[in-house]
Amino acid sequence: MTEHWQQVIVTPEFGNGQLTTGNRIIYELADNYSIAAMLKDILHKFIVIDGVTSVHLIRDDGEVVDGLETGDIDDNQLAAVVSFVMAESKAMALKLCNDPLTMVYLEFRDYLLLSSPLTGQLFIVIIVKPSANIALVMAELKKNRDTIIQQL
Amino acid sequence: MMEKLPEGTVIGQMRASFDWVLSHTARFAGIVVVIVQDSRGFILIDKGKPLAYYFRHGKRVLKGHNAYEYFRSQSAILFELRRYSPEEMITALEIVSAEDKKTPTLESVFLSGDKQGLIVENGAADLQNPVHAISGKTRVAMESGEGPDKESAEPMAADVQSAENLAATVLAQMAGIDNSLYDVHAEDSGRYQERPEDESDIRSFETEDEVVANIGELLLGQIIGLPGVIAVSIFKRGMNILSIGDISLENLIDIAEDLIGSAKEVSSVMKTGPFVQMTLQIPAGNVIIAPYWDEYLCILTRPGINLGQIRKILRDIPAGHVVSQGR
Repeated sequence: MTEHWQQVIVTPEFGNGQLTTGNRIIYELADNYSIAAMLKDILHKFIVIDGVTSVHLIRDDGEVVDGLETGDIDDNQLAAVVSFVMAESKAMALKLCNDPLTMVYLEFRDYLLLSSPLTGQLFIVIIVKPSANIALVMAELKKNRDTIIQQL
Repeated sequence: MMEKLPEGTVIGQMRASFDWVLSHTARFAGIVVVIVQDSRGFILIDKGKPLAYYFRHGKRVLKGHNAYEYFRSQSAILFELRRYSPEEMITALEIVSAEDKKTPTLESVFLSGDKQGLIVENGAADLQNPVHAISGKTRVAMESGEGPDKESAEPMAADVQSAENLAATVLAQMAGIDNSLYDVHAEDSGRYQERPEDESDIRSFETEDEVVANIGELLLGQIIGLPGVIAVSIFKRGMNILSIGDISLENLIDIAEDLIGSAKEVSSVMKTGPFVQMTLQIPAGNVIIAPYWDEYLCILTRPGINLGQIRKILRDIPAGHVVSQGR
């Protein structure tokens, strides 16, 4: 059986620290380990704030990109339910004034959930206790938002 | 008759069920102007006590029981709240009372033949449910919607007298004068005997600020009064029950319901305790969604508003909710 080879011209694309063609990674600017480590370092800045119990980076489809938590949190379940909240919040923002969503505060009796879109498909979710200094968390988010986006 | 009534201070226009209106005006004093299609009517309310019902559709006028039944038959009514000062309330009561004397054939709370109902301690029981205080004969006469017949003429005359009784009692209650200062039982003619033993016993009218604060009990008035709040809505099961403000939030309710559903799911999955409130920040402002008794509030604000003030008001609601559940 003769195999027929066909020449295919592909244009490599660069993004997220990787050079890719289609779905194949040709070259990584930095190894995954160092990217993940840098991301963890940033997330660590949140988790050390008093009252913060978890911080997660979640995709719109409910996939957890990365995260840190102090307690026993099922991050996959969290991502699944919070992605619904974010999708609906975005829909409301669009319906109301065609504006992008900036921030969602979801307050419960025992916890406060802060969520903010980072890129079109990615958002950060921080769960804090009511006693936590929200302003401090928000300041940290403002300071590190661009760095996180760059890492992704 | 409506044209003669004092204008009052317009608080806002809303849509809600009749029962909701009655249950949420516990400390409201004024008139609820009811609008059904192109026809209008009103409910005169003093601190949760409906004093008179009136509705006019073309040449047909409904009062008291008939108007009450008609309002109840509507699934949701469009209405306008107009706050009355104590003076305006007295004027309104006098107008309603005078109108009843002119047209005694029309049923009204003031034409109640049930005198016992008028002299109970607070007078509140029958005032709150004036329908049941109407005598059978009177009701029959009213339902005819025409002039008085021979049979009902006499009860009508007695009713007019009792109307004076009630008006006097209501006026006395409004003035904060204790019922014990009046002896409504004293004369069957309906004239009460005033026994002001001591001037200090007679409490003065509430101040304007107190009246405004009372209206704040409606909560919506309290929230819409905050600087930066654009609109407030109360909704339940996808239905906009009531809204005040420059923008209709009706089209947001479906998404708000979905958001509440998702928030509750987060609560059950993450064991975060019950849902307290949610704030969405967008460059144009904030959307706040919070439970309000058995319903939900949706508040739209401008950016940069003091969210702490709103949260403080909202924080008090769940406490009330718990109390009401415990009853």
